[in-house]
Amino acid sequence: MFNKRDTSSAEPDRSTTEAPIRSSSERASAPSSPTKGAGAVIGPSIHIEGALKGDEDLLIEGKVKGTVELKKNSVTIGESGQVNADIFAHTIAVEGRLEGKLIASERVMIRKSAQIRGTIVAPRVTLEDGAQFNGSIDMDPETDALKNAFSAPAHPAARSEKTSGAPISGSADKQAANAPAKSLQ
Amino acid sequence: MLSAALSQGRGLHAPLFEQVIRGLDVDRRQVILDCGAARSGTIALLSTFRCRLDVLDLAAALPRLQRATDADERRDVLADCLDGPQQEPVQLVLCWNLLNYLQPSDIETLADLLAARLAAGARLHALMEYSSPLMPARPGHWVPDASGRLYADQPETEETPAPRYSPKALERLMPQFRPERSILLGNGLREHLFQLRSRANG
Repeated sequence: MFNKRDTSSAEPDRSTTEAPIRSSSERASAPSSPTKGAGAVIGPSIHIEGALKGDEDLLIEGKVKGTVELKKNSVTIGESGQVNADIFAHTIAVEGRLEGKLIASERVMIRKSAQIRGTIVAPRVTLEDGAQFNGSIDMDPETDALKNAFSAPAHPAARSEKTSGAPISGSADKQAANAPAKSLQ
Repeated sequence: MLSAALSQGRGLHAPLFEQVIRGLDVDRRQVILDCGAARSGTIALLSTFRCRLDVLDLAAALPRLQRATDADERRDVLADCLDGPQQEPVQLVLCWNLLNYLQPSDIETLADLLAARLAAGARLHALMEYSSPLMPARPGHWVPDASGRLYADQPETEETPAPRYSPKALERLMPQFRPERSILLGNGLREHLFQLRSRANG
């Protein structure tokens, strides 16, 4: 009825029809594999502060503060994950706690266990009822935030820092440092 | 009870809600303020537009509002809900049924705070208890489907007296807004559509 925008790629109920990122519990129980896409895991006891960059999928079950840039990959914040960061990724799934910005070139999925305070920018967003969310959800595919993040190399330093895995650098990226200042309750 | 009826079946036909959604400009970026909690149906419906959705979750702030003892503290609670990182002007405010759960002075404060965030000509949509003297003790959620029909997600069985704000009372409490249309719905709710008055005209 209201389907005004060109949604040729959209499904009526995307929360159930999209190929999902596996939940953190599924990933945790899956056998580890060296194949591409198995991804890196930040375990529950790990606490990282700084800039994370890389070229593989990432599951965060620990605490991360700073910036996460995996622009061609997926990032999952697992149920035990506590993230205070800006995240740039192809696809982002949230099951845990997050304060900051989520900027995804493809989509963001918010699970019912998620607690989020911040800003989501992605052309496609799905949310399971029960999730706690405070902030903004920008679904405009033409928004400057999305263009700036993905259409050009946003971080000159990243070009000279071709890395794999999830290396940790010493300082958080300043470009995305305007995240909301409120803290999760 | 209202919610039980609406959580099943064909949902609530809310002509003014459908009107505002139908009226959104598909080619223009829209900023919509959702006074309720983020719900899957709302996001799915609005994702078909070039849209930014600001979520206040006023319902979550109601316990804090009820504990606040003076006017300044109550204003702070409401202002805190509206405090966001972005201040892009808003074209549409979705109040759902939440105004029923605010005291008259809180509605005045909210209208004042909202008006400062709105673009010229912005609209405000609300569902008000009108016929029934009772309403659910907590607001629950209203969730639209893809056709614009509204479904109540209301697990609450406890009831409380409904304030039954009249159209005139709302107009008095929200002088920043001009009543555009008001419709009494079949279930006893009254659906309201307001438009921000021109600032030049006061």
